[in-house]
Amino acid sequence: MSDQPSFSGNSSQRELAEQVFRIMQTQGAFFALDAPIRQTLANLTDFFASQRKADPAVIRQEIAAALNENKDIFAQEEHDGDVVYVISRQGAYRPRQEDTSHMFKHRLYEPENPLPVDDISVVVTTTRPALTTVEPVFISDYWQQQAGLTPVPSGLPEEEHEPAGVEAVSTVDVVEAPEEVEQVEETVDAEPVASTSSLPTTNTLIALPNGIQIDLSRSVEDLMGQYGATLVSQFRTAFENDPLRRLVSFGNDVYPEAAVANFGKNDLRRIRDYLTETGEPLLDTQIIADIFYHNPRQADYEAFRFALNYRLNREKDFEFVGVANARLWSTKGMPAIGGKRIKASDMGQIASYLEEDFDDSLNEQSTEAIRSSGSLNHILSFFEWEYGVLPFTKALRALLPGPLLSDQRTAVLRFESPQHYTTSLVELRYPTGNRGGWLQGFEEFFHERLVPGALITLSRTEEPHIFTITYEEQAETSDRLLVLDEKKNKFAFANVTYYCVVDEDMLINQQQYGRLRNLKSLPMNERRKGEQVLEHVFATVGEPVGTRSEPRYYSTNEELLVALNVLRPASPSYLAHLLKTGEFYEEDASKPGNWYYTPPPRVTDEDEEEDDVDFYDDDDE
Amino acid sequence: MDAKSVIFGETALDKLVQLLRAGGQPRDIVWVTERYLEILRELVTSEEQR
Repeated sequence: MSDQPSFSGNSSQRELAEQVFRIMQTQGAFFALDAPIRQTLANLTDFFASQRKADPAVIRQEIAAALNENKDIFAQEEHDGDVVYVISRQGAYRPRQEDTSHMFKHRLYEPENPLPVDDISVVVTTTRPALTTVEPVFISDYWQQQAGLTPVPSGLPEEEHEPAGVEAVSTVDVVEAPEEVEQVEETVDAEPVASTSSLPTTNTLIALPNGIQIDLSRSVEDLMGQYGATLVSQFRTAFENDPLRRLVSFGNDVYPEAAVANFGKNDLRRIRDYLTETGEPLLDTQIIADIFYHNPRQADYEAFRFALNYRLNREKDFEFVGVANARLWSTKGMPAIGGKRIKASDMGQIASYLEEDFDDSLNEQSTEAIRSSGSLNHILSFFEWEYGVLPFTKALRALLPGPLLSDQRTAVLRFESPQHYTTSLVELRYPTGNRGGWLQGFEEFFHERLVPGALITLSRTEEPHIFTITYEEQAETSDRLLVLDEKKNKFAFANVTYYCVVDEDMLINQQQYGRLRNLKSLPMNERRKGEQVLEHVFATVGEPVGTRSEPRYYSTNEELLVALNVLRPASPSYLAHLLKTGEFYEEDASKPGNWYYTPPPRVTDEDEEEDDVDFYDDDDE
Repeated sequence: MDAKSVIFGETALDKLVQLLRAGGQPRDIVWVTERYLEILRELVTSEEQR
């Protein structure tokens, strides 16, 4: 296939034109087929004059004449008084025409018939990608303009400017006289263009991983004021998911991973041994001082402290049990705080009523009052006194510190008794999911100093993990109070002498609650179910008003609450919920707050009937 | 830098790391977030000024 065009003119002109074409074709041998190849008339004249040893002026005329005859192949341009011929390797040069009318990016971002945008969430997806990489959410200018996030740039069709135009009319209307309508309209046409053209053309909006857009042209204070919590949480998520782990955190402290000191196996063993030897959780500062002899005045002290906390948190043998500003560490093999009378799984479910919104602890003291005063009053129930446990109510939540780490399950607090110069290590179990939280470890203090019904006060100190527990003392008092005989696993009344002020209604003495000695000390796993416990409690504490074949019991809210709190913690609203939802309870229409309980009919043998007789006999005591 | 190409939590993180290393001690996350916003702001607005 010939890649040479046909030339016109006389034979010498055709020959000359062909020679020039070949020369220029060779010159652009590595050019694209349709790329322009340029050569000046002066250069061509010099070349042919030296080749033919002829007069350059004559040659110039000959070349010009020959190429003029072939203008359709040799395009001509004028540059600095010289003629420049342009061809391509194919022949005549024709500028490339790029068809950009069907670009994919236009179809993707600016569809002809876009869906209506009612809400930016239609466009922004908040679903997590399968891979945990942090991807920005790009939103085209088109959609941003539709959602009103960015101003509409100038040069768009007239209707796009309508809102700005309307506003301009209204502003001008106020100023201008009504008769100058024509002039006003002219101003309207000009103003939007001027205002939009003065807007910054650079986009300063960035999208956070959750889809929220923030404008970086605003000050940092502004942004933090409006989006502070979101920005901090998104930033934390972002650097925690960074595959390079350039930044690491412990609690709210952040530091570059590369600068975090390492601890060898020997260091970790020494820390573990020291904790075990001490027998109780220790502060990070104490570990640093006693094991590593690091001085707080050293320049790298805070960095070393961060490293210790960060590294210990990644070791499975160590558990963080501290709070903000008091970073306590525990290790495997340390004595359990609060004993083992109640399993954590049982207690979590027993306290779950708190997470089901049956927490009345703020009825008498508001969160603000507790926070401002730094103290909380509480009346001990029998269950709390017996097991040394306090349910983690909203009131306690207002007083005690929250978890420092997101996956923290427990914190160890120290409760000091200024009246007796004793301290108790108390474990605070934070609520998880639908399981409630609680404090355990008061058993010894409660049994030695208090009785059920005692009014105690818990108060903060200057140390975030140290609290005080106090009670009001009174003269020696003796009474027959309910106690649990653990050997026989039975409740009984025994003579007890106490020295604390008590709430008389909550004091479980034989005079008020004599029937409670027949209460069965149900296994802890059965106490999880509030409904079953209440049935047993009602049948024990309630006044029998039925017959032997059709038993029925009658009791008051107050009595039931005290009795139910012998077997498990329960709030008044939780009790009310159990009574209202239970199918065997019926409220006394004449006396609201008093209830009847009709147990479901059941097949009983003779032995059980004899037991029932005992129950009735107790009423006479 | 065009704001569209900014990935929050990734873009210019190295600058923030340098800043923290130079400080020589861990910082509160709120403080770190503010410094990071300042770095991003500088990147984006310097483009605008040009």
